[in-house]
Amino acid sequence: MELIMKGGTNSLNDTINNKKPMGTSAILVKINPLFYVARGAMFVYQHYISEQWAAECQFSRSCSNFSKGAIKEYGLLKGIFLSADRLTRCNANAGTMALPLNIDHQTGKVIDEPKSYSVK
Amino acid sequence: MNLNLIRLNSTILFFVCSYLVNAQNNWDHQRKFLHHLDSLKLHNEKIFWLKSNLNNFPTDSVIIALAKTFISVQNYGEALIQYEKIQTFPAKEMVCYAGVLIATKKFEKLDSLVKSPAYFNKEEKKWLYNYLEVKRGKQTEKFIDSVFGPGSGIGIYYKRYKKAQHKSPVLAAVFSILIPGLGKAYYGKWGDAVPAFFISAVFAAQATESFLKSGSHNPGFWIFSGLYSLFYLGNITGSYLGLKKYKKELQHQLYDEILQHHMAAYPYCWK
Repeated sequence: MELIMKGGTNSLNDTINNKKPMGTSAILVKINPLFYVARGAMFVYQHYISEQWAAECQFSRSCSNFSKGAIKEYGLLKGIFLSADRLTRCNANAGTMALPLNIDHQTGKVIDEPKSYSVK
Repeated sequence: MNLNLIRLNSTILFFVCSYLVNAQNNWDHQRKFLHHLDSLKLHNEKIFWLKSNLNNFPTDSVIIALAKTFISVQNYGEALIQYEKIQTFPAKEMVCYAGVLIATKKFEKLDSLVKSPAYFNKEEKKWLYNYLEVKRGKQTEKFIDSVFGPGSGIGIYYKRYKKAQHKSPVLAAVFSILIPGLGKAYYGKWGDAVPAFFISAVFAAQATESFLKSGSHNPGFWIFSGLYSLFYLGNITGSYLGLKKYKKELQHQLYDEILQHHMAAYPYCWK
């Protein structure tokens, strides 16, 4: 069951308040050539290779999009490791082991977001 | 197109009717009007009407009607805000408030509410007691099965949640260091563990074969050992973070099962 919670938060105010100046780590990511190589490789894969294969990913956020999100969220190293782990999990069994809450009932795919790995 | 036209017409009709009914200034008459809005599934219009009339009738029944409308559009956060405005709860409404607290995962509030059981009748008290036992996670599986039935969702996920609670993410990572995939098998994800093991084994075998053929000069050795390292380290990271995520997901699944159980036990709260 989809739970929509809009409990009294002012999203515009939150966005304005959370705006922080760019830190040194963010600048380092911006000027890191490896970051652009990884993004370029991902662009080529998503636009020219993946479409030719016409393969269906078992997850609602496809592996390449998960990888993009994970690198953005956790940095290059941890992002790549999480992507490698995701590739091993992307098989026909993925749907059978998922919890009902993690299944998108419209598409039948498994919901797996990079943000959900930041559990304390 | 036709549906949009119908909706537009009904909205115009709604405004005309609301003007007429508003003139009556009588809550009982207006309840009938609200019932018609419900049957037409004009939930947004009903919310608009109730909000604009809250000043004319600042009674608990208007607030409850507004909260119920928010529940019908699954906006539980707003429903909770409305419930918290109620001055004196009618007899049956307190358990609905408890349900909304479960839906919005405000468990601390619910726990303090349950501690003052004067609000609830015998049956409701029993339901909330059972719910608390599930949340505490200290009851035996036999007790949970006897209360909710052996095949119930709560029973199934309670067992899995209880098992997962004792698993350590660090231990899962250590197992993955020893044998790729063992960390995932440790917390019961055999379907993830077997492919992880085979992928690592294939790359390790390829790298070894390339090395034995022509030593470290063979590019195959560098490519396959690189891929092996990537998937090996990926598996360790995945085992550690995956177990943490799995525990959290199981907890959410269990809470969702409790919510479904509440919906079945008190359907009038969720209509």
